Amino acid sequence: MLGTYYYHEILRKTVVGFGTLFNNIELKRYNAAGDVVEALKVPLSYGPTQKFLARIQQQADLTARDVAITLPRMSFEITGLQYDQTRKASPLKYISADKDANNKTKQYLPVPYNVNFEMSIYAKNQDDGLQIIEQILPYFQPSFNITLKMVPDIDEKRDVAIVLNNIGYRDEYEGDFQKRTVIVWTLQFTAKTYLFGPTSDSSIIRTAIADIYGTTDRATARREITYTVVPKATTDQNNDGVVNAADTALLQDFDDEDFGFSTSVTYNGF
Amino acid sequence: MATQKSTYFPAYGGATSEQGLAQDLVDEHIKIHGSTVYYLPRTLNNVDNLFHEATTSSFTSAVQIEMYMKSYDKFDGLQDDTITQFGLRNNDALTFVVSKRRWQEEFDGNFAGQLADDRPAEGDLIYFPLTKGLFEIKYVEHQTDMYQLGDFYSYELRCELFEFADEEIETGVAEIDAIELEQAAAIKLIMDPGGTGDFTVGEEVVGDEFLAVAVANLSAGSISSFVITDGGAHYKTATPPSVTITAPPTSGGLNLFNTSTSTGTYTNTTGTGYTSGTYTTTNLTGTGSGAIATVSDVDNNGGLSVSGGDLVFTLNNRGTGYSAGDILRIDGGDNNAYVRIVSILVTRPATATATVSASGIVSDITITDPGLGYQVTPTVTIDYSPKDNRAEVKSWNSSTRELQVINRTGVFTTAETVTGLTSGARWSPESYDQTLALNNTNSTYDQSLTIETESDNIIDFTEVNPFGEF
Repeated sequence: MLGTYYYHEILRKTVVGFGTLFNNIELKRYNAAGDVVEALKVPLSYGPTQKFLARIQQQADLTARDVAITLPRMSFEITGLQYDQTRKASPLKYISADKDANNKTKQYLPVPYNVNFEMSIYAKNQDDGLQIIEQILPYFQPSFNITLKMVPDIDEKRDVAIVLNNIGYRDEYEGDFQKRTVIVWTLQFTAKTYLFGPTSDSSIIRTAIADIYGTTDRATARREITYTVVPKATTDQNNDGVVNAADTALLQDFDDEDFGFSTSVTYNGF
Repeated sequence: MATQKSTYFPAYGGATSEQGLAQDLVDEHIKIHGSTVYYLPRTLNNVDNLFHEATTSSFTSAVQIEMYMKSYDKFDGLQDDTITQFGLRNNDALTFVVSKRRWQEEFDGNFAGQLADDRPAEGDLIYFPLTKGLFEIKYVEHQTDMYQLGDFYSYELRCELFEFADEEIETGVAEIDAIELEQAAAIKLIMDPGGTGDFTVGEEVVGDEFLAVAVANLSAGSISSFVITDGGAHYKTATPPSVTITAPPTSGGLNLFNTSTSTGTYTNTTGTGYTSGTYTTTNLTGTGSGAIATVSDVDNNGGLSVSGGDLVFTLNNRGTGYSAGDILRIDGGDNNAYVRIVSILVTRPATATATVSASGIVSDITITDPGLGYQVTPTVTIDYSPKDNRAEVKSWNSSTRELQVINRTGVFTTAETVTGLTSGARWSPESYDQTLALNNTNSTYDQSLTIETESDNIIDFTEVNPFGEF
């Protein structure tokens, strides 16, 4: 029943949109006199990775000079999905857009889903971590909206609220000297995104025909009158000074153009 | 009644001579079975006394010393690298043993600012050339010998691979300093065509966005005033920038000369056989040196003409150490032209100091010495503003004009010229390509650019991203 293939990459787009918010965080270090001695961009990555790729990409040369890791780093990942019934829309309504001159693309309203993200910040110093955190938190009150181009077929853009739910902090400084000090900030976010179903295309209705019958007895009823309605130009499309059939032939986009209708009635001999 | 040890023997066992023997044996063992490593003392550049942390550190020396690798059959700690949410992590750990006496010979009081004078310090680094690993000392165990013969003879250093957070590593050992070049956060700039020179790896570069500029006015060979054409910005009143003025010609150089008739036995004052060109000179009297004559015209016999300006000593070719009355031979031709020095240059470099206004602009330059003997207007150079962007060159490709830098202090703009302080190379960024600067070029972990590129067709930023330029 479900098997109509479609893939709008909306979850992927949500991941990219979320990541874009944090891919330009800068960090500065100061000397004792308060002068900047270094400014650096904080590396950001989507956390989950295929292990073999991580190994061959991040440690391709096994004989290279080595350190344990470079810090600071930021990482984020999806931690879950939930249906958001508070944003539920009518399942019967749909959005449509022109596919071309003769066809429309139609899609039913999307289903609201919340995507949970966890953003983690790993710093060597308290000061590094606090600089990063302070550059993020003020923008979430508690949400920040980004606009995503969800479904290109219907040119559908949606505001996606990124909500900051919770902030965790871990500073493991206790224990023996060989246990590393680890400073990790963990920010929990919810991205209020929308999942769209498949789209469908249909031709534009250019002629409407209504047959009128004299009785409801379908076995004996005769079609007595036929109404036919077609679009008719009301403006001079070809700029020849007159509005006529030639102008009607030029009507293309019925959404935007001003047009009327021609109605013809056929009496079927009663 | 408590039993006491005989007072004829040391209280805790071991005479000094025995302890010395034990130390000798330990030292010898480490020298035979150990490895030579580099020890890097840490210098704390800025300590946050509230959070109890060193926010910036540097390692500017590396001393070779032998250590025994106690972890002889494998690394300590987790045996394999691990995948974390922050990428790959190398967990190698090692335990080194170093002689207590050898340590003190190499380090006790030898390095100003090291964390501990008389023992290895936690936080210092050890570079192990065999594995090319840079290890941080996590803990120094000084009691592993457990008072054998009443003393200790070694330190046990428990180490893990260093977590690198852009600490400065400038030890002078190329193999170690390369770690900073490879691992430090780096960005790439594309420079505008038309620059000059080539940047060298490791040199400091500085932009001139906030640089003050001034020119000097010259009067009778001395500086009479300065005109500040650009006051710059972000200078500090308490620490005004230095002002450097190019020096006049060296004092003692040849100034005025003629073909005096009192040339003694040197009767031919104009000489023969010369043509236009430059000629070295030889003293016939006096102790000066270095004067080089420029001949622009000669008579039919190739004789020099002194009075018409056809024989001159240009500004940089007047030599040094001459005295009035010295006679010089113009080498070349028939070696028979002579000049007699009438007077020599008496010069003195000018000096000046800058004054910075409360708003951080260079508002005045005060002449402290107007100098003497300037032949042409000198060049005035005001030191860079503290806020001018600085960085260290990671790499430079003159073909593609790509400059990668680490340890930058800010964002270079297209309006400034970036100068190499060692090479003198001068190039301007072609465009501050935010996309290029977004990515840490040193990191295979960083996906900032990938995310940015992928978002180009997804994000509809009708308003500016408040988190940055994007």
